[in-house]
Amino acid sequence: MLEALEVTKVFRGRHSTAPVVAVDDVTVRARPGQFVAIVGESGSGKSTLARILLDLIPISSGRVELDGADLKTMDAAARRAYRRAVQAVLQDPAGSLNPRKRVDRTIGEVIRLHGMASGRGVRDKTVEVLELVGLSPADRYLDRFPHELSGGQRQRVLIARALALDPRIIIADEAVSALDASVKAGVLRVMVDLKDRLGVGFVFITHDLPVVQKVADYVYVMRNGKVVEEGEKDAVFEHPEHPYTRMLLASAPVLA
Amino acid sequence: MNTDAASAPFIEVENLRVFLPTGDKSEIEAVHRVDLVVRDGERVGLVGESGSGKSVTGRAIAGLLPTSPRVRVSGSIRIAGREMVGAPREAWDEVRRSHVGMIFQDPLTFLNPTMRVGDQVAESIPRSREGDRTQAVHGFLRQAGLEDAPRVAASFPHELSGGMRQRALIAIAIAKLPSLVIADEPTTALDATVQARVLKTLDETVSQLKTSLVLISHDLAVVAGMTDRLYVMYSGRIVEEGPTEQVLQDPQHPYTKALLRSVRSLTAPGVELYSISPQLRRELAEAMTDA
Repeated sequence: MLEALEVTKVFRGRHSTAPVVAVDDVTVRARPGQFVAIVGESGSGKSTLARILLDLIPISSGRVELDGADLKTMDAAARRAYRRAVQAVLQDPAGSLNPRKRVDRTIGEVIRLHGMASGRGVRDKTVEVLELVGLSPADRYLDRFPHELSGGQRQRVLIARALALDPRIIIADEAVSALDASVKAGVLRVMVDLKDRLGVGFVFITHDLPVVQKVADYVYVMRNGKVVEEGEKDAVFEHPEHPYTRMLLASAPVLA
Repeated sequence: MNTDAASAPFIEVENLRVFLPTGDKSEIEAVHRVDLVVRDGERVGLVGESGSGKSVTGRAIAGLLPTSPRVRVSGSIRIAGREMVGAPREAWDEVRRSHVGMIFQDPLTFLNPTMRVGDQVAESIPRSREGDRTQAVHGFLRQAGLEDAPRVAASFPHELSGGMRQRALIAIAIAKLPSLVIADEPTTALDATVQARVLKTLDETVSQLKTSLVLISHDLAVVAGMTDRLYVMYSGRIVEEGPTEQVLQDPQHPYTKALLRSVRSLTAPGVELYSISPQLRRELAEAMTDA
């Protein structure tokens, strides 16, 4: 289980501006095989929390633990294992993929770098993860450049790259927000499928409430760096406690 | 501007084709034989996925396609009875100054960063208008939902939040008392609660001024709540048109049906997530080359 426990992140002010408490005493938990959603708007601290869970920025106080082991006290090997186990899929697939690398190289390099496979095994693993995200037959995609793929296909390549490291949790920060409905549905289906079949856990960070209602098991609502409400998905959507949650729910336009 | 026949639609687009240059000296037909009308006071939605040609159509109607000899436009765009395809730049300037207000996704590219918001609203008010201009500026800002109008008027665009900038654009668009507002993804970049407020503001201002509206978006739910009539675009073509309610409840075209199914699958509980299959897209492409 991945846990952020009473985590606070303060960004020092620049020049004469005051320090910003981006994440304020937040506790969230994510389990493999579970779809956890962290919902919030700009400035809620949700993306800062994502970067904390990905071990990309240090925290000011609190603990981040994987299966009870504190990230702060991990040795180098344990920390590498953590970074394999907790993977990222971010919003902008074009910006996250090197435009000059073909799909096989994009994924193969990660596999080799982390020693997940070698020799022929690299290609086998690459094909395996591409098939897992529905880029099938994989042969058709191996030698494509990012610009030769659609937005949804690029997002799937990013998920495949994350999968190549056998992660237990994937942190998806606005991973489908910019996609058209049909493409969004396709990528979400891949994620739900990976959760069900491989037991991968997802931390889904988004402002897209309808999508949360569709796929999440557990929901945290963040505002101004704090978790203002949390609970099982159905409970939060049917009986929102916090006024802010109620406002968020009322704001989402839904097609009848 | 209703000097011509009152029955003629304010915007009449016929057989519009737009060719855009691509990197390798060839061109693509971004808009293919589009027919579209907007009547006085009518609210029209233009929906489609990215690359469908909806924004290019919107820009063509606003006369805002890139001015390159490699951008080719044919067909007819009549605005208030006047033919605009091939019209000189001055004619477009006149149309935009007095008839058409525009709101786009990224307000920063349309706001002048070096000019106070109030001055930009003032610029938009017709010179012929009488009365205190400062009062008028504050009035339009308030109408666009910016209650603290004096402060906003004195601000530069970078000093405002995203939602406030979008409202400032609404104020600038309505200050010319336009016959038509074209809004292209006006709330796509905004948070849900801000989006809800900006849409409400747009809804109210358009109603009060009895302005026609063309709302362009990939988000069917947003367009559905704001429009009377819907055009669905796919691959540069209008594939379906009709009253919004009718198109949503009883779609005729296979693409519209698939699009609605995918949108609804994202929210309806217990329904399997649906994405438009490559097979259907191939069939649609074939049907279009036949036509």
